[in-house]
Amino acid sequence: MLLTLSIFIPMLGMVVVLLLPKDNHNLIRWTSVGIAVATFIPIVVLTMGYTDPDGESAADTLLAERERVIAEAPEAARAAILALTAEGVAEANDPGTMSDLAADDERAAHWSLVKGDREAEAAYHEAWELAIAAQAAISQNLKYVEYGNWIPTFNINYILGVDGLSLPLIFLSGLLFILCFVYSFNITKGVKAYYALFLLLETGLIGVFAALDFFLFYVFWEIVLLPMYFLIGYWGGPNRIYAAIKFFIYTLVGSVVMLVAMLALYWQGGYDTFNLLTLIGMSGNFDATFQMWIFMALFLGFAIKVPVFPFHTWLPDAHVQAPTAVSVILAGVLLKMGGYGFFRFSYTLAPEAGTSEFMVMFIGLLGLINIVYGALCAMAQTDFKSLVAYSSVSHMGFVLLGLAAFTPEGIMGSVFQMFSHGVSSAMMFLLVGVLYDRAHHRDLNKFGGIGLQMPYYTGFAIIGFFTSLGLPGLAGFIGEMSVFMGSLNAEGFDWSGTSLYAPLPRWVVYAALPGVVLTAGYILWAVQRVYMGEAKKEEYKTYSDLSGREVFSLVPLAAMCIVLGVWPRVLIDFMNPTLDVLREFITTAGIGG
Amino acid sequence: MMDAAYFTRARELIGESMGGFAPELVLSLLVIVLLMHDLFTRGARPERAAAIAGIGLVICGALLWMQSTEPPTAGHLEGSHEIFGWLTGDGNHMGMLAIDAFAKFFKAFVLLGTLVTIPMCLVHPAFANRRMGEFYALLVAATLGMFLMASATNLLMVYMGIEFASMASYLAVAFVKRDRKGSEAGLKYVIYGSVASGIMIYGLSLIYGMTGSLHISDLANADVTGAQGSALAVAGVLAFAGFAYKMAAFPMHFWCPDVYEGSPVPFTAYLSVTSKAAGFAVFIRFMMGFGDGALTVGEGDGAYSVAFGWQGLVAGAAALSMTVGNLAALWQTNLKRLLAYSSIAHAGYLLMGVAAFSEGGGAEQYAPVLFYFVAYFFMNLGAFFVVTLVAARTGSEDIAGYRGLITRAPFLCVCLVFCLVSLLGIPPTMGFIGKLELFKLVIDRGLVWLAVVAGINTAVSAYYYFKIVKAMCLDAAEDEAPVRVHASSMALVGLLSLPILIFGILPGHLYEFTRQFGLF
Repeated sequence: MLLTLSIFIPMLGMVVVLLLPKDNHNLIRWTSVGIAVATFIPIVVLTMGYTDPDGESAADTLLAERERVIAEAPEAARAAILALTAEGVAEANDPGTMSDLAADDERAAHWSLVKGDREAEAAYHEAWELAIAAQAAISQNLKYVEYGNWIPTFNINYILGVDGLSLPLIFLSGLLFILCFVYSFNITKGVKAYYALFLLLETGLIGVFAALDFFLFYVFWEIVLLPMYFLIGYWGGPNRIYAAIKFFIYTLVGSVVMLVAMLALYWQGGYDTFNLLTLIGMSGNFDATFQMWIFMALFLGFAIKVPVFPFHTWLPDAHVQAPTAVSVILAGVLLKMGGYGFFRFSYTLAPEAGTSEFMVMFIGLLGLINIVYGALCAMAQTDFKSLVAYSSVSHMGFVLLGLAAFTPEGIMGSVFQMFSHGVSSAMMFLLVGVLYDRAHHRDLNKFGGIGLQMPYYTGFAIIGFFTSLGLPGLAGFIGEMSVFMGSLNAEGFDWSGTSLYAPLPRWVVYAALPGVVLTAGYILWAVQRVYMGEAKKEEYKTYSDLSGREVFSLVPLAAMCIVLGVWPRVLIDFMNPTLDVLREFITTAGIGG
Repeated sequence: MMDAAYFTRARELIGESMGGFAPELVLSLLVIVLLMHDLFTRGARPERAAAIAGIGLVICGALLWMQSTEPPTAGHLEGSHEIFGWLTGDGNHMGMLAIDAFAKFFKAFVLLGTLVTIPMCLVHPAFANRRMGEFYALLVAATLGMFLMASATNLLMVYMGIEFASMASYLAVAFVKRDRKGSEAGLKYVIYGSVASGIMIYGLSLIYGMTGSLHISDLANADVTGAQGSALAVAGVLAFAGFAYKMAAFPMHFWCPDVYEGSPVPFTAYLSVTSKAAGFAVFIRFMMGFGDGALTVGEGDGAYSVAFGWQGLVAGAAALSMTVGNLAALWQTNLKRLLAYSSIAHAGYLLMGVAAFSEGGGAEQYAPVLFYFVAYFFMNLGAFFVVTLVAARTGSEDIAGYRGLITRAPFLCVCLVFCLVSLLGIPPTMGFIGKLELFKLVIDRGLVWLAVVAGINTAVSAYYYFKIVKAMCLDAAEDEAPVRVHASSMALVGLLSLPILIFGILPGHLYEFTRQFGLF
């Protein structure tokens, strides 16, 4: 219930905002902030309660749902379902039963009991689907599962649930939206539409991370597109319309290919389901070629969002043109949709393809290119915002590198990096925004001496940029460090008993190491040009330091940078159980199935 | 053997046929009444003509609603109810027109499309203060032709239905006198149409030569051994030209942009929805008449048969229609031309579903195409209605004229955005669900490549649909004056756009509903 609330409060809020009088800007602003806070409350409750060991897990909920389906099923279906149960669904934690369930001849035998009776067929199918879903590997750590029939005609269900992978990202989204709403008080053009679209965006984003039905996920994924298009296109910089349509079409290309993959999965093996957990439960049975196709198709969809070289070109345009708050959401949460997709969909639905020699190398190399190429591009920028944008490309490369390694540290580092990048890049965009609001330009070479005039601001800037740089003691370091440790360890790791026969070679990691130096290079150089030295222009001496609104937006992020840098266990302990299960599933499903 | 029983039976059949033909009879009468209306009315009374047309159509709709698809007497082939026919040797009745659920769906579709066109005509400036009885007569006549198309089970009736609908449309396109563009469009339409029907009748006559029958269900009996197989293929391709012309699909799509641009906006809207639907109805019936078994694809266990190898042809036409339509649409600045190309692309999406049909596929396989038609009805008519209203107020059909519409007419603008998003096919709209089901069908039938082509096309089409959205929402208006339209027009636009959202979120019942209209 709480998850549904956190998804739909913003959508209801959008309606409320649309009903407010158009000219009362402050009313609209404060209402929106109130809605964002109201959305954040259930998220916080969920986060606090997640580690509670007594909490109900996905398996419990799904099995309870299954009981309900059986109880409500017509007589014919009940017989078939019970026949199915007799053959082993009850032995929930035995992985062997999963493939039994999938055996076509047995299913066919049960199917004949219900065939022809529409209602019975549906009940049988749903009970079967739920049984598999309850056993799926990732269901152990999923909590707060909500289940309902949405469009029964198409076997589409409303399934939500979160685990250690998605909950931190939802938490981050909830927080960033509050900060962005407060920061956006300086927007004066079309205030009502701005906040309404922003609230719709929040619904889409939280929905993406919470959806456990592929169709539902796809709907949220696309819902994100529209408000983003308008937010960039209407409130952005001079070249905003080009940037907006580029963003839109790039993402759409990826998502329609993803749609085809989704439908192929639906039909695969006659499973007729969009239920992600069921599909994951069955993924061991998908043959290698099919897995490869699925992996590539999903990869395209997610890679464009991450963005992975060579699909990254929409990002600098979109980031530079977007208004500050939109850039914050873009970098902080939107890019994570891609990274999250890799973990949740690509690797779990096609584990064999993901751990194949080709794919490990492919992802590793793309990670390497992202890291080094992104850093080099960042160094070449004269626009402050584009520098930060390219730094995102570089930092998301670490996510890929850690994924390719498949070691516990690599995976952990990869997810940690997603979170810490969400914090640090959001902070950097805010910092650039603060400066832009005063100077009305972003040319790095024209700044200088800001530190003298705005000491508090510069203090925050140092925290933000040094987190991005990966300075020990700050959040960025932990992610990068773990990714490097994990990926260097890949060759030496004991892979016996797993499907991974060709771990990521060390040279890829060595080749990526200069990326760290390059990162330090462009960040230090930028910090030096902007904050150090004498004021290059007289007007810089008139700038006021941070306003209350700006401090409010920056403080939580700065605090998170430091806390996660010093005490990373808060996050690591939270997500590690989930990641362990995921990693084990991905590296062994290829053999086990 | 002309005994008394034969004549009794024949009388029975005539009565039955007239009963089955009642909706068409109403339309025929309506055409005459509308023509008479202009003759006996002093001065222009467009509203009254519209009212007569509307009432007539509603009566026709009521008769259609009550019409039973079950034959009232015995002696029909199982599951078929055909009228205006003859008794075959074994005492069965085969006819010219089928009265079945499939035909009923398309007739209702065309009828509703015509009904929506009437209020559009009322707000169209070129139609104001003009004797409109004649125009509505043409409109209803075209509708009657489409009714015949939807039912036709005989090749002659197929041809006649298509010609009937086309003739009336040619005239209606060029209805506004001294409008050069309209006259040009009318002429182009006639010329392209004649060429297409010429090619088609040639194909049909070849088919007749090979089957010895004009009835669609005899097509499957075609003797296709040896060289005749390729002759049948040639005949099929030639016949397809005529159908593609009506569906506005590749390769007979050339007329579409010019005619859409030149004809009065309400009629463009009418053509884009009803004519396409009728074209699909008649083509699907024709294609399925070939049945399976004429051509077997693959070997051994993996072999499957397709109706006359239509799959390859239709899939190819589908892929090319959407690609050609979408690529050409990218460069359009006139909204009517743009929507014309978009409708060519949509013919491609729909043909994609048709390509996946097989004889044994059951009634289920028709549902995605029928559902997509329902979606297409709302989104295309909704879009055209807004175009009509805006053109009536600003006189512009150019995208440039739509700049800043969000401030000038927020409601119309939001509705148009919904329609365009649905045409593009992203959730949560009906167009998305429709496309999803089409994709599902073709992927299930092994045409994954076609789904990928359609997917890429969808992404391409985002550019031009959003070109309009961009102009309306992101660009500044040159003329800030609000575009005022009558509340009833707004209500109608709302009625057309609201289902797009409702059935986009909860499509289940509607989809179940369309399931029962498959061809058996």
